[in-house]
Amino acid sequence: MGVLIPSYAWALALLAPIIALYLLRPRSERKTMPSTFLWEQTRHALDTERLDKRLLTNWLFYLQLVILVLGALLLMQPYFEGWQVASDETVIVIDNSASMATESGRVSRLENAKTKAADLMASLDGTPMMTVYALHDQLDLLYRGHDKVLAASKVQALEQSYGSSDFKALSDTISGYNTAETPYQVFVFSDHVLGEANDLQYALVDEGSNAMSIESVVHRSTDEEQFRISLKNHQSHLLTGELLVYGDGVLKKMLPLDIAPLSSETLSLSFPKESSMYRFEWQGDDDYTLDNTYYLAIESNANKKVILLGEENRFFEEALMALPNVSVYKSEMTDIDDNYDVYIYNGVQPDALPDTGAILLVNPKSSTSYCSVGKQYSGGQLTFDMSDELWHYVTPNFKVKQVTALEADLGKSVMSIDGMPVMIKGAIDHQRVVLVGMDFAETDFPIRIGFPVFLYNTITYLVGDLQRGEVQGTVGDAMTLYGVPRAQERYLIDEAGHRERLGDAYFLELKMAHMGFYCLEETDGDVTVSRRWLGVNVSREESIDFAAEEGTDLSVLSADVLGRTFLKWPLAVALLLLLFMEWWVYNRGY
Amino acid sequence: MKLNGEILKQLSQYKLDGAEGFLSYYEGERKSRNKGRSQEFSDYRPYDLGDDIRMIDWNAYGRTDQYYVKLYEEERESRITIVLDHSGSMAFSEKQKEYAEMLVAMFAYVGLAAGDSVRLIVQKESGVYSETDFCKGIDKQHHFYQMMEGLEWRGEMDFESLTQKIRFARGITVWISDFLYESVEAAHRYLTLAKQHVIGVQLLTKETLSPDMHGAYEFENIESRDVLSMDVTPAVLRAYHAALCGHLEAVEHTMVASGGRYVLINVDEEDGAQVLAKLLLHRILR
Repeated sequence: MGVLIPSYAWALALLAPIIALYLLRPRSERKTMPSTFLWEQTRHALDTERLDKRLLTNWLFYLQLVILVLGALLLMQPYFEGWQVASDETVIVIDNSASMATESGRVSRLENAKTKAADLMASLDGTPMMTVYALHDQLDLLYRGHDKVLAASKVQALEQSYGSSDFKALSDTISGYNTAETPYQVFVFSDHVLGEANDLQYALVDEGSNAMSIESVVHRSTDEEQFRISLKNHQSHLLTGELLVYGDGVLKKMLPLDIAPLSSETLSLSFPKESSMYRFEWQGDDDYTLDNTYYLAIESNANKKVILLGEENRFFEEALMALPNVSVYKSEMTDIDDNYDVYIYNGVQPDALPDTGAILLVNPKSSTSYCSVGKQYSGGQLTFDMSDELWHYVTPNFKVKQVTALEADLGKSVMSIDGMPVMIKGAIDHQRVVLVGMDFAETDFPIRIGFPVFLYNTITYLVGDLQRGEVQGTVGDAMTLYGVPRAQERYLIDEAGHRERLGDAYFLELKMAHMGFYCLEETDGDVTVSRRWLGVNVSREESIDFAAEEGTDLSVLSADVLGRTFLKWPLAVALLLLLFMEWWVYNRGY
Repeated sequence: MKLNGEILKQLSQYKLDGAEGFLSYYEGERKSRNKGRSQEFSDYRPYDLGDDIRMIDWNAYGRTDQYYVKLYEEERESRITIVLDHSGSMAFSEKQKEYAEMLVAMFAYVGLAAGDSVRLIVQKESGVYSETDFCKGIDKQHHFYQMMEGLEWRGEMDFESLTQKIRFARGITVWISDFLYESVEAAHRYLTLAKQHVIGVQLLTKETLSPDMHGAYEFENIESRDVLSMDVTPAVLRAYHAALCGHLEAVEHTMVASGGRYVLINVDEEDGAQVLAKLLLHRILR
């Protein structure tokens, strides 16, 4: 036995003055009275009113108290709890996902789960068949066999993982067991509430320790970066703390907040367009800190700036504006200072091409250093290179009044007339260029359904894929990403600087094990083609409903996981004995 | 203690009230509900066989030609027993003792003046009681003074034992005491069974009725010499008053419930005239 603050022992010294006061109090005065009859009655009345006198001498009172307590206990049905395994095979699933790292008391939930699992294995009779799984972002088989010692050592060696629990994988596996003929029981040690299969979840859940969570952050990009942050207080008391907002690792805002019990609060914040990685962090008293931070990556270059120069063409503009991730600008000037991703010259051509960006030159009317305008054709057979990416999903059945043959040393011709190129795609240095020798206004192509598709293909060719995929993900869940087509190598870099080579696949499905920011870097040789940031957070889901998973009904397995030995009979016997004692004492007149 | 002439003059007008149902079989000066041989005419009734023919009213016969018998009221005496508590507690206050003696003299005088027989019972020693004979006539009051002069006011009195050992004939018992003991109800029961109309006169001092004290005390009982330690606090005083009120109510209820009379006299705050007024108010005298 110990004491927390031994220095408070000085308070015992206060006993001395109290004892002294009692010792030094005045002596009683002796007084002769005609009768002490009334004073004796007074003493008796006071004595009978004193709690200790009234209670200590009354056996019936004590018996009635005990009987009442026993009766209440009997109604409450107290029990001893222990593992109850009645099957030939025992399946033990230990959740070692990120949330299990939270400390409940002095040990982590995972350590607690391992101890309980070892306890369960030790309680198994004989040499039963045991299957032990570790559950994180996938379901790993740790052991299958009859050796308790080996199984226990595997469990003890289990380390913390950082993915989300893949309950789908678990339910799929359990579904597989459903077809087995051998009777089995499944014990899941997790901190998730398992929906209908609650009995499978051992009491490691300590949701009460989760005080605050950043539930969501919604981002909208206008002239500035706007955020709506939703925080939730899970506790039944007021929580006080601070919300810190970091942009590219620099503290941008610190907001002191008081959040009412069991309620959510939504904040709106906006910042100038300076950062692409925002970290929102709640700082306050909380045992479960994983959901106190939210990582949000902004793909600043997601929107491609396309400027339309030269003759006005309404169909052209509308079709461009319908493209995803494209911002359309217009100008009558041909010399533009600002940087754009794509310059579209319609009926005009600059003397010199811009230094950056890609170029779509439509209907050039005179020759320049990079393009020679040839013969004009008012009839003739147009030929299309349908294998080229510009014509994917496009049926070129439009009618053309007049086309112009072009000559440029760019790349390949994708449309020609009488062997003369009319549409050329290629590159000048690192700038991609597409030349079109016709005026779209003089064709019915813009009113065809294939026109926006053609534009999409063209812009995609010029600036890379417009569909870049997700920038926000959840730990353990797959993120779908599209690489830049011309990139040859792709890497995933975490905040610590670890680079993971992803290969050259254009279509990516990434699963992150940790929360935080990641960088997807794409290179073409020594040139970095693209670099984008991804924000990965832990799941904010509070429960997983097993029974709702299609084809899986774990609830049928959930009965009597924990064996309970009820005490009702010993209590009932004790109650009867006490009732008899009460009757006996009552009759004796105590 | 002797009563002065003025008080005696006043007292001679009164009788003890409530004695109608408790008259003795001796002839006296109190009107009985029965018919008898006094000088007071009461009623006529038709003559019946066996009646004394000397009782026939011949004038009535002359007027009505019927025989009528004249009836007269019967007059009997009331036997009054005065029981005096002369224990130590009654003499603790000189005034209490004086009042007790005065009340004995008053009740004796009222009884004798009304033609009743009066006796006084006292305790000679523990468990041994002494009584005067029933005296009749105003000239006998000196018997009571003589007995009181020789009394020792000390020790304890056991009224339960007294009521069992002394023979009581139908009559009135005037019980003068402080009633600060538990045997009041038991003694009263014996008196009631002995066909006594009980008049309880409780004499208490101001110190008993409203004690003014605070602190630690050792109360020594003057009668038994027992010591009781008490820390007198406001809460204790409140409990004392509650106990006092409860006891007074119990004594009054014991006396009054059986048709008797009861009066409480604060000897420190009430003079002789107030006592007399109280006796009239409580219908002890009329």
